[in-house]
Amino acid sequence: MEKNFGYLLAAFAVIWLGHLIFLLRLHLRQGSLDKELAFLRDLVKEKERK
Amino acid sequence: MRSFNLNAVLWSVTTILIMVALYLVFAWVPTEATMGIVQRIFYFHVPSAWVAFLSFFVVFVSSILYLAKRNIKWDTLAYCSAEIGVVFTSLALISGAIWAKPTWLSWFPWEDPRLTTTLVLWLIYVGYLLVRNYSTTYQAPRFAAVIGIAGFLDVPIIYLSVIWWRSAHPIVFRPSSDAGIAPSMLLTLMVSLVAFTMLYVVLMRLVLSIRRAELEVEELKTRIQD
Repeated sequence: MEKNFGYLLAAFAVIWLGHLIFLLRLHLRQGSLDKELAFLRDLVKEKERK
Repeated sequence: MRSFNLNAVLWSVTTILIMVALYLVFAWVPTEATMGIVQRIFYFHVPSAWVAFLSFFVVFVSSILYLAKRNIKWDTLAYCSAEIGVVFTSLALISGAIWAKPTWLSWFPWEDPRLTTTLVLWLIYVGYLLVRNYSTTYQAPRFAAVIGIAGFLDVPIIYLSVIWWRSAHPIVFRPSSDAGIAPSMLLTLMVSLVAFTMLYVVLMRLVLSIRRAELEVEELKTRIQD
């Protein structure tokens, strides 16, 4: 294995794991927001019906 | 339906570009003679820094437009772009530190002006996000816009720092035409730059849709309380 290969691998891992963690966080945020939005829309509809 | 298709196309193009960039970086481009294999970090490090600067440029322009027109859409655009900019600045700083250790024998040589000014940029926009996330005053978007505009002044300083002050930082794009890198390296860098720019576009669309949903949640909560 070439000298300093570990540093290249570490930088590669940091860049792409960084992106993956950011994407995962965004998807989790989107998932919880979708549920909250659906719940609130129902609540508003119910309030307007009353 | 149209939006779904556009998203799918954008994600597909970005994924293909990233795959091509990875192939070029790891299998095609020759190893640089002086620095050896660690120089390949440069093909991720430079595009990360480029996207960070692009993000903060969007924050800068959107903040000016927000202060001029007081339209919430400009504030939303600035806020979303700042979030992505901070992520990419963090990645540029960390990948730079990993490159610096075997090359300069130090993780973070403070005497290098480009590193220090980039760290300052990261701190400015972390401050921007803190103002946006934790300030309860209605003036928070205005305060953040001022930080977004003032903070961008650091970007030209970062670019010119290696020319103004003594620095060992490699210069890829310099104003004079005598500098240059091998055509194969330039091509790899360009493909990587395009791939990362596309990544910025798809991430911006995703973050913007989330921010719009957050604003709708706030609006619905207000309607329920009234």
